[in-house]
Amino acid sequence: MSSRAQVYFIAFALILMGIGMTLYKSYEMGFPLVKGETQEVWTVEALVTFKADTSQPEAQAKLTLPSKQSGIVILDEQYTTNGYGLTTTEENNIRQAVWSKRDVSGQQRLYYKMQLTYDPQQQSELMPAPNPAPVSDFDKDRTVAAQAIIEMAFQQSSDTESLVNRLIQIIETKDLPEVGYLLNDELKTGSKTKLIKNLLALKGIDSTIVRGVYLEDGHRRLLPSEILSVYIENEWKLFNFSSDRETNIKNFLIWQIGGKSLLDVVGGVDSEVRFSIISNIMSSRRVAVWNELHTESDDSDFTILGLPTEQQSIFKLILLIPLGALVVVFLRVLIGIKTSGTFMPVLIALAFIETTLTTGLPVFLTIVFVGLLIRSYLSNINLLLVARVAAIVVIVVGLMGVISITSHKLGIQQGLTVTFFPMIILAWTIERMSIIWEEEGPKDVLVQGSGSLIVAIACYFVMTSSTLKYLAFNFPELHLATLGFILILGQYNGYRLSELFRFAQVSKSEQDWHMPARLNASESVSDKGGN
Amino acid sequence: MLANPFTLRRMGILGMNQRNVDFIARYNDRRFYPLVDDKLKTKKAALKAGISVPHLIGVVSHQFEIKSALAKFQKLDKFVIKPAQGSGGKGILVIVGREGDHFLKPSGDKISLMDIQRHISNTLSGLYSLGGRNDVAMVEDLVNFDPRFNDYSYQGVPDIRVIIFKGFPVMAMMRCSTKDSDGKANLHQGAVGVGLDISTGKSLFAVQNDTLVERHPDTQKPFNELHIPHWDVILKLSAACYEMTHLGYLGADIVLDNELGPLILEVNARPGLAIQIANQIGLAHRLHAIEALEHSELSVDERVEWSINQWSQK
Repeated sequence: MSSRAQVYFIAFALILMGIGMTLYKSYEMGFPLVKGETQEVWTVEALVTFKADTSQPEAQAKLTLPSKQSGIVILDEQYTTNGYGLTTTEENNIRQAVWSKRDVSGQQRLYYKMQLTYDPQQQSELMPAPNPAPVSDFDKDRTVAAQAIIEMAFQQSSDTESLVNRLIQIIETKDLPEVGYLLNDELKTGSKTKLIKNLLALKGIDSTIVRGVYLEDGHRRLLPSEILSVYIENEWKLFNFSSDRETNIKNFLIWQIGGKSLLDVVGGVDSEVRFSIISNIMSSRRVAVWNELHTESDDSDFTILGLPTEQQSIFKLILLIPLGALVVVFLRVLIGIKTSGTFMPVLIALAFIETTLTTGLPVFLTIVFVGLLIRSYLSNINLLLVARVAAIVVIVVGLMGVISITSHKLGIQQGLTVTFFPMIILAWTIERMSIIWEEEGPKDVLVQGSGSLIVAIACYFVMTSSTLKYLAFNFPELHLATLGFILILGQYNGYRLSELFRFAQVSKSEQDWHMPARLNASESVSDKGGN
Repeated sequence: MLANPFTLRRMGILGMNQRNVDFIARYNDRRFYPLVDDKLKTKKAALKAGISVPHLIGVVSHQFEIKSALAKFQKLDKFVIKPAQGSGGKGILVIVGREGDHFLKPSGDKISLMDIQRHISNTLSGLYSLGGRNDVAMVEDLVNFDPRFNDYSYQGVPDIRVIIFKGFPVMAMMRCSTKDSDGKANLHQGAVGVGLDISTGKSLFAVQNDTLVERHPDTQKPFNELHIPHWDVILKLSAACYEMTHLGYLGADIVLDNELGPLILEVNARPGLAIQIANQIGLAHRLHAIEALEHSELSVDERVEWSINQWSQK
């Protein structure tokens, strides 16, 4: 079998395998091929880490677990034990997981993972009975300052809800000098949330601190957020505290209510709990079955869905890279767009995904342009290449700082996304462009630079397409087909679109076969005549 | 304006993908690339194979050797310093004469021995090499160009590119630098390519930036009178590069010295496709004709003779 036939054989086998496995998974295992009739399933993972205390060998970690919450159904829960004994307790509606072990040393990692989905029908009351006479724990000196704040907020509001909102606003913007005084003191022991709770108590309004996480796809290693629940007219109402989060309060997964701590570790130091959140799409049917049986399905164990949540959200991005690679191969081999570096466009596209295209593109162009200007000066003073590139890296860091600071001062939030640009991509782009500049001239910088950008933008659109994102993550076997297509494109020996332009003049000379442009015309005409 | 791909296929125009897949990947073994990517290695191999190259005066490979090398330069009038792994003509210093202690460049600028020292030092630390690799500086005799070629080139040096496939000369052109190309004989930077009849060395067409021209844009010299002397020697010299480099598909770059005749400057493992525009003919049919040969293990002379007979315009 010739090498070409071999490649085609392998490529078609891969494509058939990829598509076949996808169809099997879809029809036999109930993964829907399109997004319709699906339900969002959130996987939330809590990672408890602590260092074993050297003075005592035994350790115990108590983690409060979320309970049923209105609008949210818990589908499943998993724990890792790592040699720990695990018990779960439930007391006064508070569930806790207790891991304990006799002999521990070094860094410890414990996982708790849960799957949940939205269900508007789900109703449950998990808030405690209100305290009719709440007390604040301000001491005498601070009570005066606190009174001033709450009175001002009271004057500027009409009911309890607007009072709370106004109070949050005052604390956030530090409108009053008293706020700064109280906050500095309070933050040593508590938080802004606790301060508001105490202020409201002065007016006889009961409130409680609620800890939990916002359900946002792809967040990793989050610390728990604190929000406030206020008892207003016989009902507990949640207040979104931090002003920079525009997140819907409905997406808040309540993990723990009241002042008790989320995590208690005995026999360990530097304890911490962090959350990773990811959303998957599953068919409604599958969710329903799962919900009823409340057991983990085994068939997802050997898929990406079986990985820890933190790794899953990284894979969501990684699984898009083959699509970008396919786009690059397609545009280079079939269209003939010149790019600098084979897969640099994919890397640039990945950076654009972080920043979004509309802000990423201008920022990228600015940095590369200024970097090139400075580079051209550096090459005038005859620096060695290594030193030149290193100097560019330093300058790029400076530029990123300048852009971040100016846009922050001007109030343009988008400018801050410059920090999402991986340093290495920017410095490398500038280095490659400068090498092209030196070896082939500014015209080639323009050609290859814009070529790279066009390919990067094409990759960006492919990699952000929600259908393709959905398919790539839920049906990773489709990438076998991607590989097959890339192999076939690698065997393509036909013309590129750009070559049809390049050789247009030559093909015309065949049409009028007299070759009018022939230099030594007289000779050639007689030659032709003798033919 | 868009060409019809079927017309191009019928004419045998070779595309970039076909060149890469069917010829370079198939006939050029990667392990032979270092020989052509390093001009010093090429030169040594050429001398061993008895192929004429510009005379090598010396090599400076370490910074500490520069001092003793400079002492030798004091006695020289004409010479060229080039980086062994330079690309695109970067870092080539040409000295055409002396004026007291100073050295003269072709443009008439005077430089001192100190300037030469700095140039060599930069070369060794990789200022002119691909990717900034450490390099060595080669010092060669200056090629005395045939004065007949003076007007065909602006500042730079016209060279002759011959495509060799499995040792057979396939197509040739002369590359003439222009003001646009900044004195460099690189077609995609604006140099003029003059297609040469592979059997006679006479000009066929001239092309600049993929369009046909009749005269040199800077000197106004018409290209139709161009007839390359020593054509037979040129073909044999370039065909012999096959045995020297073991590359099945290569481009040999040749200059004509007034006294020494044709000399190989360098060998390229990935020669470009613009030569087809300069010749107004596709490479593919010629390459396939050679692929179809049953006895391709011929001597250099036999291969050259075969090519001349095969593609004679008469």
